[in-house]
Amino acid sequence: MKHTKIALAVTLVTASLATLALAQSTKTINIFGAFGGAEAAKFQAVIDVFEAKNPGVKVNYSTSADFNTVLNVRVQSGDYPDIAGIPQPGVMKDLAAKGALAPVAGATSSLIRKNYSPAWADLGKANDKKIYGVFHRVNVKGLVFYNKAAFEGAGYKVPKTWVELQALTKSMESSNTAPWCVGMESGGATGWVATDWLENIMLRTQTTKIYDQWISGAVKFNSEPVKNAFKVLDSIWGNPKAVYGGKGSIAATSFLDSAKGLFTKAPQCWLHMQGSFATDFLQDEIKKDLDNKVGVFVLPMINTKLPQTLEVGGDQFVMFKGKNRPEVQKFMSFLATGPSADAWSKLGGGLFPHKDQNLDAYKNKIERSFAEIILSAKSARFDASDAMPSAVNQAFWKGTTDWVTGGGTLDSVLNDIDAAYKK
Amino acid sequence: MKTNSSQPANQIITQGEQPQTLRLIGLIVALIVTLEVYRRVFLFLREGTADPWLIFGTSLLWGIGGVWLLFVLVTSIVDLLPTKAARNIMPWVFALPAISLVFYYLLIPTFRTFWLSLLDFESVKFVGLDNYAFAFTSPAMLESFKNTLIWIVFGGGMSVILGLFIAALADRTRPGFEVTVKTTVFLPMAISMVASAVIWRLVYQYRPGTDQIGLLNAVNVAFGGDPIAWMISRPLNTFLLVLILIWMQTGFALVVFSAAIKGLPSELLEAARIDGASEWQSFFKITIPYIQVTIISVTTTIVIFSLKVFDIVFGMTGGNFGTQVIANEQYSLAFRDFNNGRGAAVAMVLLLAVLPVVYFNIRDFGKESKGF
Repeated sequence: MKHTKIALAVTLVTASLATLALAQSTKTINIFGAFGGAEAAKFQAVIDVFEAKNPGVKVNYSTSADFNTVLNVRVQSGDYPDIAGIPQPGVMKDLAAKGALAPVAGATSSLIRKNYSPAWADLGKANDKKIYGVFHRVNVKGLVFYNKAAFEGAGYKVPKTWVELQALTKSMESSNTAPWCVGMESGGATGWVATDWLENIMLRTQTTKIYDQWISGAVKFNSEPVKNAFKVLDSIWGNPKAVYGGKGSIAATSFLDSAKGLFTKAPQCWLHMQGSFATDFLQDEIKKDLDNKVGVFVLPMINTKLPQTLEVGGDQFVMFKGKNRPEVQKFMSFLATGPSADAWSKLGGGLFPHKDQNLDAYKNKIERSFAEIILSAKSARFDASDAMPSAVNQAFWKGTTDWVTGGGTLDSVLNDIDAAYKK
Repeated sequence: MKTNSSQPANQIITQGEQPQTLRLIGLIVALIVTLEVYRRVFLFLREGTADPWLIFGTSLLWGIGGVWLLFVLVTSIVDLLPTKAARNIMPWVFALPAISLVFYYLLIPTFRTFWLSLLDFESVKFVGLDNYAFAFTSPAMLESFKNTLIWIVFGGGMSVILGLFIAALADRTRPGFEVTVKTTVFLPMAISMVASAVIWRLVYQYRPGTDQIGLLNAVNVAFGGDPIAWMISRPLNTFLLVLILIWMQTGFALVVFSAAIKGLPSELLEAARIDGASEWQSFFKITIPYIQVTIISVTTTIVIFSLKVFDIVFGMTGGNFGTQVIANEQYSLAFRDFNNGRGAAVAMVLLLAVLPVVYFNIRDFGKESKGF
């Protein structure tokens, strides 16, 4: 009995010490990101290319459904990952201000200057004007999707202006199918569909200067430009004939289900506005044949005097302080080059802003066309709510949800959101 | 050590002193080595960079084997001490880990939360009671107070009343039937809160048009009604969420009440019947007073549960559509808005609300055990 105990104890100690010593000798890079599931599997293909080029380096990607919360807790306790993929520039700026991040190395920043348009480089800068973030997979918002066969069969034409779009939806109202499918239910994140709509309307009615001031808080929510955007949105959402199921169903319908409405057996609607990622939400048989089944146009400008500005989003990868080891820097540089984009674009479900990417690599024409929209954009702005401080973003989500479900008047909702700026 | 145990008994007594000191030193060295390994294992796990399976194996090995090793070493050391000292120290060997865990994981965080609640959102500046002023005036918190009250009164009340009546009625049926009823009602208790939220999402599911996949709307449409978006209809939605709690907690109340009713001496009821008491009278005048203490502790337990409710609201509505409750608002403030001060203040408010109920619960628990 005594013997076995001692033998057990000795084995335990020596075996553990040996593995600990062994584990410390491999080079690993730990990446913590917001996307999971199929997207994480595609990111693994990007990692595979890097690992093949850099033998002896192991890259681990992990995620959490509650990414922001977990990242914040990890930062507070000093348990930094090496690299994090952050969807919100506001969060990146907060972390940089706290001194938790390391700016990208010189080699990476010259790659960024070479391979990206200045707008993307600027989005990766924190308040101290240093570049911290490398954008990899991005998306473009304010796209209107339609069922190609049904749309063309009904003799509809893609509208080039807001007036044409209004005339189109008016004539759609008299068909048996509603013009729009809208669903904003998204669990704890309910509200982002509404904020996306409002941001796109803002970019189509106001100058980019006003839009930037809105993000920084200089233009209040309870101000004419923002109120006007709500009014434009209400002219669509508040019209019972314009939305499938009427306004009352918007907050109760999942954003995933609403996209499918275009392709149900009897289509529920003609149009659906969403980001480029909406192709992922469609029915499997549609996803297999996107090029022939799905049509897309960019939501037209409302104030035609303004230049067309795109709303974009995307995850930026940042390095943490004290974690900028050579292999980590190497991975950051890799993300700023075309081959890291091609590894994913050929699998589908990802758009990339890299100038040196191979556009022929895209799995289908529709995604290639999105990428071309991104590359050719003269002016782009990031998703405003994601660029605002987290508390304001939350209040914006909640405020629009309350407004849609009758939980408050427009003025009271806007004042509530403005109050979130005061901490 | 091996020679020691195989030697005849008289030799142990004569040669006992020397090897025992040696053994003590050996054990202490082994303890120090183990603690050092533990420190390294901790650092290794905290780093978290190794292969997930290695991390999993190490934590499993040291979570079980390491604790066993520490236990064996410490008890062996204490055993070698003089009998009187050993007797005094041994209880602490068993109790100290638990006490220090409670201290580290409950007491320190409580005081730290209180301190954070007096600081600003990033825990830098001292702001006094500002966060508490917020906790008692913000619209979301006022909504949470109102809703939490609904959870306590409607949820707690219905669970207790339903549990009590089902227990009383089931007690009068055939034993086989009673077991079936009790098992069926108790079953939801075995489902985790988040899983129930998923189940009930399907029950309350809403689609515009006629094809309903949600149970409640399917029934509603079958009887000629229009589908209703249950989760966004205020104030009905809060009551529908509370229904989930009732569904889960009635089983708990039922089982405890059933046991208490079974403990009721049958002579009492017989005497009452002979005196001409009706069933209602004997239920209200004998059964209920007899199990009063049980009723109070079940009620307080469910009230605490309702005060802390989080998962159901988080999983069903995310606190939107006027269904916010205190615990979910605390989560939103602390972990979505990243406002440490306000989150901590709301957590303290919740703690203060729970404390009197806990006190009630424990006080009656003490009474009950004295009775036995």
